[in-house]
Amino acid sequence: MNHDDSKPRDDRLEEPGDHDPQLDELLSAYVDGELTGPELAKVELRLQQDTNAREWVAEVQQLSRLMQSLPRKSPGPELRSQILRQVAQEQALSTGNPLASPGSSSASEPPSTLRRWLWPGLAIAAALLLMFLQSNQPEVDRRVAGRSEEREAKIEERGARSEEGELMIANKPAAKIIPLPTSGELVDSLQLAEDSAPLAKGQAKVVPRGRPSSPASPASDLPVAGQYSSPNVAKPLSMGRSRHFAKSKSTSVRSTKSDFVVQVIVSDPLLDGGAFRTLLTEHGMKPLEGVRLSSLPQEHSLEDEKEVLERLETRDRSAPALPGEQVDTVVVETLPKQFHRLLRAYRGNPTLQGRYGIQEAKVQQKLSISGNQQETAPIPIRITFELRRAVPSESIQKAMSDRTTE
Amino acid sequence: MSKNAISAELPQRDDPSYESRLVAAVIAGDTEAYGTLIEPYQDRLYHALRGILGSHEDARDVVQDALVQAYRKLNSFRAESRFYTWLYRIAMNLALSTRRRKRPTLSIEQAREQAGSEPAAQWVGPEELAMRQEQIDQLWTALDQLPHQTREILVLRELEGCDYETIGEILKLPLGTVRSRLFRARSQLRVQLQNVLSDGSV
Repeated sequence: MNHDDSKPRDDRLEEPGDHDPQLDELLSAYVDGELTGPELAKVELRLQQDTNAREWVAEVQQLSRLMQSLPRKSPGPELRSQILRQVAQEQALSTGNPLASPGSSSASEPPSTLRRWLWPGLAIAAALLLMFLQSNQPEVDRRVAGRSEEREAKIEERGARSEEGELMIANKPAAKIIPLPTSGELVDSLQLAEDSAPLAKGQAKVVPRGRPSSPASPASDLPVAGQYSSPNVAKPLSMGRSRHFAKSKSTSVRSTKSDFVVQVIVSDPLLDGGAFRTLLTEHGMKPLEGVRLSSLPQEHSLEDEKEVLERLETRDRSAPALPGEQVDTVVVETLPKQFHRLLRAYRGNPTLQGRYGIQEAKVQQKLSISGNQQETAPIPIRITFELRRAVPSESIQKAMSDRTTE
Repeated sequence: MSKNAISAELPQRDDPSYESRLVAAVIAGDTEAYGTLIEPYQDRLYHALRGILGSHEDARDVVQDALVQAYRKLNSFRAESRFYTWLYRIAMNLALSTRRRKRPTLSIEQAREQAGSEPAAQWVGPEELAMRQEQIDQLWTALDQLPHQTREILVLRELEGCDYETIGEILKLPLGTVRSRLFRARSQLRVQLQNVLSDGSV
């Protein structure tokens, strides 16, 4: 190409005479093959006669080739999984239907026979979770040394308690609420597992300690208490947040999405995982994939449930799981706010008012980065509910009967 | 000159209702279907956004945000428009917001870093390869100096291979405006890359 450097270049074609700006634009469209008929003929005629136009077209074609030859890079294999995980979280935080418009109700209304047993189970689940969260130390700091990022987590809980009583549904006993021990008796510390080889960096585990030798609460010998009384059953707890939250000039800090993992053991023979799942879905907590759910057996009936309930009222709750006792695991991922909403909804249930004493619970995390930038953001918590129940089969009933007569 | 329409590049989705069925499945709560729906687009969207935003990190973030935002808004997606153009419109708006927040200026070193090492063709010698890399560096720098609107339309045309109709759909512009903007964009780029063009080696 022959260019005169002293010649000024402009957006307009350097064409002498009365060229039409629209004709210039046609040249660009010509390069892209977007012209047909009279417009194409017009440009082709011009190209025959106009050196500048020919030069412009040739150079723009060169630039097109150059741009099209730019190497393609991959955004990274983990992008897709990150997106899908975020989408799953969005779905979990939405109201049942992941894309339902606000105010629309969930399509999955639980059957009435199941619904009537949901609240007792949830009562226990919520109480146990709060019991777990409540701590002698109101603030637990976690610091992760490493790179330029320092994380600090704070958990605050207050006023979580449960009261003894009997849960009445339709003037019939549905479940017995037993006062739960304060969580301080069970777990009073959450520590990052920086020094724990089996856990990856950024994970933490629940470290139970300080359990009194003689429990103050008569119910502290519940099976659930035992789950947290031994360091051998410490559960992994990872922390972090889903989105990048800080960037320095030279590097960006991106923490992968991770969450609290809180395991709650609910010893309730009447609470079925499917029903509990429906309840959670109603409150915008869609269980994550991979949930292990066992459904009620085919022969199950409401009468069966009542029978089991009656037997369980005399059962020693501190006894280990019965042979054949079924455990449903439901994992939900949600924001603390969402979880509290569920608790509030629970408290607002007229059937349960005055019978269950959750006052307030608050879970909050505070993150600090590099010591000078600080941001507080809710972090998704992952809650694993383990719902234990006895399948009302003959073998289980017999086992329970044997146990109660011992 | 062949028309480089985007529709010709779409993956094999012969069934015209394929995408709409996937969309319906996602709306019904199937997140796996969303993975299938976005699979053909995420890499190319990233490539386009890298051309517009210049930075790997920003492009990646915007791809992620755009695909999550598209999920949230999927109820508002109408079958009369193509999912591709609808998705790109979301991404372009996010890219504009990102670029407004920070307007980076690329140095040659940064341009080289983001351009990456181009796979060497067997018939290209070391000198030619070096010259080619130099051209790519200059192209990134020139692109970075263009106004966002100019860069956006160039990327859609040259990197994405969108035809004018698709560009118009994505940017919500009439065809005449697409034409004039592309002409101006190319003219500006041509001025900035005169030295590259003078080499005649492209």
